Formats: sequence, structure tokens, C-alpha cells
Amino acid sequence: MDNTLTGMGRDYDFILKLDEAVPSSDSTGLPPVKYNLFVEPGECVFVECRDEFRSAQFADFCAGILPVKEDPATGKRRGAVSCMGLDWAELDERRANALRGRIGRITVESGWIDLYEMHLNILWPSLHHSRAPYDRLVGEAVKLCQSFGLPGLPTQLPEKLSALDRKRAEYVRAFMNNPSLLLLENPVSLTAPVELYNAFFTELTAARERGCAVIWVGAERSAWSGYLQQGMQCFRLGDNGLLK
Amino acid sequence: MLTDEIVDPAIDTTGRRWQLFQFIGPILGVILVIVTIAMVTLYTYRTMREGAITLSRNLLRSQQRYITEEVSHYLSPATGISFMASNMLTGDDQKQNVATFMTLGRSVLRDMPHVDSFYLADDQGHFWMTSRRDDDYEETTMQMEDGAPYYRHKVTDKDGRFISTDRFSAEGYDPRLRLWYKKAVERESRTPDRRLFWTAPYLHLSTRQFIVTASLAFQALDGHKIVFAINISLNQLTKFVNSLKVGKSGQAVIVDLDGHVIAGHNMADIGKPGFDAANVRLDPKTQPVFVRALDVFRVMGDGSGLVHTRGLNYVTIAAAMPLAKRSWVLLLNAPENDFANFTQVVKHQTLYFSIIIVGLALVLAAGLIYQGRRVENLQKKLGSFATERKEDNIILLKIINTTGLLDPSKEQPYLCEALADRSVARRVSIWRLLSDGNRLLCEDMFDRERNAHRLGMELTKMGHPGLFECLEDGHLIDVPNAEDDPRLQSVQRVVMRMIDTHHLVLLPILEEHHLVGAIMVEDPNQITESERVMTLVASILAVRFSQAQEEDKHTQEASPLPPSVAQQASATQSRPPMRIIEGFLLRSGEEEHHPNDLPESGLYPSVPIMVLEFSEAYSANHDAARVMLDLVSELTDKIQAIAREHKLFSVQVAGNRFIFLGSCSQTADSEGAANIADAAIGIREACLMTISQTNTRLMFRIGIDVGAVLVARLGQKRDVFNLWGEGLTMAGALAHNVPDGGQIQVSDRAYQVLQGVFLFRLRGEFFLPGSGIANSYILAGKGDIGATDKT
Repeated sequence: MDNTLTGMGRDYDFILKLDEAVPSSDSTGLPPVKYNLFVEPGECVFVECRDEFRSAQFADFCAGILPVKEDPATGKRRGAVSCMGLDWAELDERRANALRGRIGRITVESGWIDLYEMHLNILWPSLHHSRAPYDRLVGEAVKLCQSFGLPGLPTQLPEKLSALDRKRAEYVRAFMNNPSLLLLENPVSLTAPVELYNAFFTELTAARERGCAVIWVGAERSAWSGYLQQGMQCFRLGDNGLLK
Repeated sequence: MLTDEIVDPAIDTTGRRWQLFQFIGPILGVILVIVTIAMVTLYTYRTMREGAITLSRNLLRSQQRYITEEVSHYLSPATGISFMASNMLTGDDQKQNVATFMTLGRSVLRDMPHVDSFYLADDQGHFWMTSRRDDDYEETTMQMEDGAPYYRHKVTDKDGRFISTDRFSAEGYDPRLRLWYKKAVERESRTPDRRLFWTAPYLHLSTRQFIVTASLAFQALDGHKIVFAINISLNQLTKFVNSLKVGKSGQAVIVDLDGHVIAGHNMADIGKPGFDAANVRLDPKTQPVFVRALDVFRVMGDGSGLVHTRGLNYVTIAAAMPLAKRSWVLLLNAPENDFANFTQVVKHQTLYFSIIIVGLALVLAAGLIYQGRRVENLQKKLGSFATERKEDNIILLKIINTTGLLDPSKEQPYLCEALADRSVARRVSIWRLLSDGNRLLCEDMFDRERNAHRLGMELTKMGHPGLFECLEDGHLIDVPNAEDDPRLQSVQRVVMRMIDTHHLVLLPILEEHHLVGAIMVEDPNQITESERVMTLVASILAVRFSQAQEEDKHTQEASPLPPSVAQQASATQSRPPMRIIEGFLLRSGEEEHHPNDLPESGLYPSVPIMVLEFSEAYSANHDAARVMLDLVSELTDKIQAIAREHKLFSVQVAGNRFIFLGSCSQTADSEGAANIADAAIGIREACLMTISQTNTRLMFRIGIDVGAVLVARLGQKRDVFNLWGEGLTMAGALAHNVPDGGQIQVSDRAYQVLQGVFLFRLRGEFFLPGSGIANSYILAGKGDIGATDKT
């Protein structure tokens, strides 16, 4: 039965599948329990988690950065995390990195490289992973910048921009190059202007329309309450793993 | 999924490496075979060549021994006869001795043609000689006649019978002064094998023979010294040496250590008048091999060698001739090819065989690669079948899972999308035949490139009879170029020309053999692959359309009288007449109300322009809308007042946007820009104050630019003022992209005009295609200098 389900899973393309997967983490971060999560293209899944570190580890687990735990006795992996039908554990480093190129992320720590200007920070993932012409990428970035309320593509160092504009740039970086999966850790704050909030939801919906799956890990339910619809999966990330 | 990814994570490259090996492996195998064959051939060739050279050296060596022996035999009479004479001519009777000498000489001359003559001399100056004269023999005695020395020649036959006599003056001749006499006397006391003295070869003037003289001194019983000399002609030796065959084309030559040729090809002209046989040397130009071999001999002594010259290898042998004159050297040479030629032949044969083997190996390798590619292609085909099946299944699953799939009242845009994706077509449309049977109504049309749907288009039977004819046939129609098909030309012009498509696939939708609709696929790339999905969609649509047709019929029965055209016309007439509305809060040239005071139409390159945009100004609730309208009216009043106060040129309302023009002149107007910035600050304060006093989500944003606009006077009276252009677009974008509500964003150009008078905060540098990098500023407030100036 399990095999049949797995076969179906491969055939009908879940974007992200956590199948009885146990992360190799200690109890201070992501609890090492079994995780089950199936996300289809265009689906948006909300995960409530108040611990930022745990949120980050869960996103890392989905992105194959935090590996699946191995049974010390048998050496077998406990469960599997697969993205677009590819098991992270079976991919070599090169392919795993390429697969991560299809993921857009918003992290709590932003991860800006302060030595380089913002436009490079935004374009780098796309330039690294794709053969898309530079001008096309710039055009796409400018379009996203404008929809998130920036006059154009910022060309200064990240520290020179205001916190709000950095947040906008973070959205641009995440939505660049049509990602197939969005891993969003606390993507919106309720103090941000409502236009930014709306622009984020507009782009998020457009991305889902294109078939992009979304995992939204957030501390506050109220952040997505306006976007939540019937049929969307909602979880709470606690000590016992994902709870509905 | 990205189509331009550098690394596709779904592709496992280890398999590719194996494929690469499958391709390169056979080629490497062939190369290995070629290298092995080449090495074996080379090794065989070298071994055979060395063997052939050794063999040829041995051959030459035996040839050399033979020649040495022959030459020794040729010169041996000198030794033998000299020593025989030294024993025979030692008697104390001079006459007897002379008679013996003459007899000995005559008998030797008769049997040995290469012996030229004999001399006999004693320490008293007597001299005798025996030589040939034509077919007879001449006995010469030097004696005093008539008080003078004469050579008395006595010609005899072979038995010594007298034939004739003559004499020739021997004035001045003393045999004791001759080299052959003196050197022989000097060597008298030496060991027997070194006593014989050999002169250098010289030309005998009377006989034209190239001769060498060997002389031996001994003592007679009466105590006188006697020297016996024998002259040997070398002409015969040259003939002998030249007659030798060394290999196929080899040569032999006898030279002395100085390079003078004793016998050989150089001496072929011996005996001819004018040929100086005593002065013939090896020619380095024509005989480089002999010259080199002699040089080697001088240093290394006897032995064989290998000389490379004129593009050929020559095997050489050089040997001293101890049985003849000691300083003579026999040189032999022969081209290596004469002996090793068969190795070349074998080499070529091996090469040809190798080429055949390599060719066969190549054919095998190509066969192997071809088989590998075939298997790979089959695998790919199987893979693509699986992928197609998977894609089909995904699409079918999605279609089946769609809610209200068979309910004609619910739109199903996914059907078109699924068809477009599966057939990789530019556009797919679904048409429903209306119940009158004369019209096709477009239910959905999906443009895959633009990702856009549209609907509502109608195709009538009257306008497109060919199309209906095709559909009624009930078969799928695939037309590569609809423009060329007379039945579908009209459809191409009306429908397909919109996006310039040509290839049309038309699938009639039939319900119980009645046409209910059609599917049109434009410019498909995978029509065969999409057949399953198309058939399924057609079946679903058949159910939907037949239901819809029935509903249409019911509706028509319920209201049989459709509104007439006249009624529609009267309804149109009852509508209020069209009005042209000018949305100006502050109209340019307002005070005079004269259209001529409006600025001329044209391009104004530097105009201060501001856009204020209200957001969240809409509510669907009537009460909330009323409150909002009141609030906006109040704000508008204030904005109008501020605009008047700051003498702005115009303020135009357009939807939720207010467009402010500071001035409108062809030259840059910094005062107008300052006025507009002042007004912006005033409006911001007034609006914020009003909004803060009200419970509302209404917010505003302001953008200021100084840029180019097109100003136009429109309307029949040319009294409607309007503007558009880059400046307005920029100000609008700035207003739209203000970082937060209630802020004023200023462009770099406006900042350049306003800096110093107003306070700004830099938002950052931003790039826009076409404009490049520019700064963006937030207007904070009025600066001190400006305030001082104003006061």
C-alpha cells in the first residue's frame, strides 16, 4: 500500500513531500519526530511556529539542508523528504544545489551579503542557477521591485536602504525567476504598510497560479488570516511535530 | 519549472557519464588497436632492419676478404719473384746472373700479363731490364758504346731467339739514384717481410701503364749489392675492382691513406691520353660515402659503418691490405636498401594489413556505437512514452477532479489550458453551437503565451459556411495553413489573424451524432500526443453543450418574444446624452475663462509635476462609501485651496489621482517646482490632520518629478486642457511606490531643482531600464534657507 502511494506521489507530482521524515536535529531545534506533509503545485500551507530557530530549521528541513536522521543500528534513513519528486538524500551536491535554485526563500535573518550591492544580492541566485540573459533578469527584477513599491532595482548596499525597503527587496529576491516552491519564514509583519501586504499577496497568488507551492511558517495566525481559504492546510509546529 | 537552468536536478549525470563512456569506449578501443599495431609494426621493422644490416655487413665482410685475397694474389708475384730472384741472382758470374734474370723475366712476363717489366741493377751502376715489346720481349742492357752510355735493346721471341736489336741513349741515367734502388738498399737489413719496398703508383710514360714498383736489395757472392725490381701494372687491378658486384649497386675502391685512388671507378679512364692516374683522389661531392668511410678508417681502423647521405643509408666496410702495400685501404659500400629492401616491403605490407584491420575495427566500433545509440534512443522513447502517459494522467486527473465539470453554468477555464499545455499550442478555443444551429459562440479561448483567457466571440454560418461544412462532417481536421484552405480562410482572417497563427486543428464536438460545438487548436506542436486529452475534453464538452442547448431551448420557450431591435433602439435613445467632463479643480487660465490663454499644444521639456494618489478610497458598503465621499470631498476642498494659495498652474482629478502642474513653460521654472513642493507639504499636513481625526483606512501618497510632458488642447473649441508623457508617468510611479503612506517621494531631477530650499532624505539608488541608475528622495519639509527667503 505504501509503495502504491509512493508511486502515485511520484506520478502526480507533489512539489514537497515529507514522508514519515525524521530530521537529524536535537531537541533544542526542530523536534526529531516523524513529519508528514504533502504539498501540491499551487497549494499554500500555513505552519504556525512561534520559535524563530525552529521555523528556520523546519524550512531548512524542507530545503534538504537539514538531513533526514539515519537509524544508528541499521544505517537506514528514517523517512524521506522529496522536492519535485527528487529525494534530497539521493541527490549529489550539484543536483541538490540546482534543485534549491527552484526554491524562493524568505528567511528571518534575511541573509544579505553586505559587501555587495542590493541588485547583485537580488540577481545572484538567478544568475547562478539559470542561463537567462542578464537583461531579462533585470527586467523581471525591476517589475517585481515596482510591484513591491520600489521605484526601481536598488543598486546600493543593503545597509543603505531602510528596513522596509530591504523587506521589499527580500520579496523581490524570493519571487525572482518563477520559483516552484516558496519557503517563507514570517514573510509579513503587521506593522508594514497595507500596500506592501497587498502587493505580497498579489504576487503570492500569481506565483500559486503558475503552480508554485508555498510553505508559510509564521508566528502569528493573524498574518495570514486574510488570505486563508477553505481547504488550505494549516499546521502548528510543536514538540510533537506538525499538528493540524 | 525553469527552462534555462544550468543544471537540471532531475537529470542524473552519472548515467550521462556511462553514455559518454559507451560512445568513447569503442573509439578508445580502436585507438588502442591502432597504437598496438603501430608499435608491433615498428618493432618488427626495427628487428628486421637490424638483422638485414648485420647480414649485409657479413656479406660485405666476406666480399672484402675476397677482394683482399684477389688483390694479394694480384700483387703477390712481386714478393714471390723478388725473393726467388734474390736467391737465383747471387752468383759471382755476372753474365750468368744476367742471363738468368732475362730468362726469369721473360717467363714471368709470358705467364703473368699484369707484370709489366723487371729491373736489375748493381752498386757499380750496371742496369738491366726485361719488358714486353708488342708480342715479343725486349732485353735491355745499359752499356758503353762509342764512349757513351746506351741502352742496348735486344728483341727476342718467347724462347729467347734473337729477332732484332737497337739502342737508345742512356746519357745521365744512373740506376743507383733511383728511388726504387735507394729505398731497397735502405731496407736490406730489415726482416724479410719488411724488406720489400713499394713505390707509389706512377704512370709509365712509354707504356701508358699505371704501375707500381716493388724492389728488393741483396748481396751477390762477389760482395756487390744487387737490387731486383718488378713493375706491376695496376690497370688490370682497376678492371678487376670495377668488375666486382657489391650487393645490387654497391662499389669498391682501393685508396691510400691520403685519399689517392689506386683502383676503382675513378680510374675507369686509365690508359687514355691525358689521364693523370697518379693524381686521382676521392671526390667528396660524388663519393661522400667513401670519403666518410676513409675518415672513419683513419680514426677507428678496420671495421664496418653506417653512413647516411643523399637520403639513403649506406653500409660501409674499410680494411687495410696487409698482403699488399701497407698504406692501401680497401673501401666497400652498398646502400642499405640493397639488402634491407625486403624489410621495407614487409613494412608496407604490414601497414596495408594494419589499415585493413583498423578499418574492420572501426566498422565494429561504429556498429557498437550505433547499437548503443539505438538502445539509448529506445530508452529515450520509452522514457518519453512514460512521461507522456504521466502528463496525460496528471491532466486527466486534474480534469476529473474539477468541481462542476459537467455543469454548463460553471465556467471551466482549465479545459482550454489543459488542451493548450498538452498540445503545446499557441491558442486553444472551445466553441458552442447555439440552439439555432447557425452560430458558434466562443465559450473560452486561452492564449498560452500570454496566459490569458477571453470569450464571447461569435462565428455565424452565413459568415463562415466552410467552417460549418467542415464541422458537420464530424471528423478531425488538421490544416497546416488555414489561409490556403478556401473553407477556413474566413476563420483564419477573423479569428487566427489576431495572433497570426496558421496551423489549425479543428475537432467537432458531437452529441448523439449532432454537432454541439467545436475545439480549435492553433499552431499546435504535439497534436498526436494530445489526442487522448482532446477526445476526453470533447466528450465532457459534448455533455456540457447538449445540456446548455436544452436550457437555451427551454428559455426560448419560456420567453418566445425576444426584445425587438426597435425596442433596443428606443432604450438607447432614453440614455442621457454624452458629456465631456473636465476634471479640473484648478483650471489653467481659469480667471479669464478664455481658451486662448491656455498654453500652446506641444512638448514641454521641463515641467514640475506632482501626482497625489488616494488608496483604500473605495468601499462597497453604502454607508461607508458616503463617509468616504464626504472625507474625500473635504480633502479635495483643502487641496484646491492649497493649490490656489501656491498659485499652481492646474490641478486635475483623474479617478483616485490628482495631477498637479506647478507651471507650464518651455523653460525650466524653479519657482513653479518650489511652489509645487510647498503645496505638497501643505497638502500632506492638511490631509494627515484630517485623516487622523477620522476613523478611516484612506491613505494618500505623493510623487513629484520635473520632466517632459506633452500638452494638448482638445475639444471642438480647443478649450480642454490635457497633458501626458514621461513626467506624468514618472510622478505617477513615484506616488505609487512611496515607501509608506502619507509620504512624498521626489525624483532625482526634481531634487536637483529643489535641493537647498527643501529638506530631503535619500531613499536610495534605483535602476530602471532605459533611465539607468537614479536616486530617489523623500521630501521631509521646508529648509531653513527657503523659509528665510520666504519671510
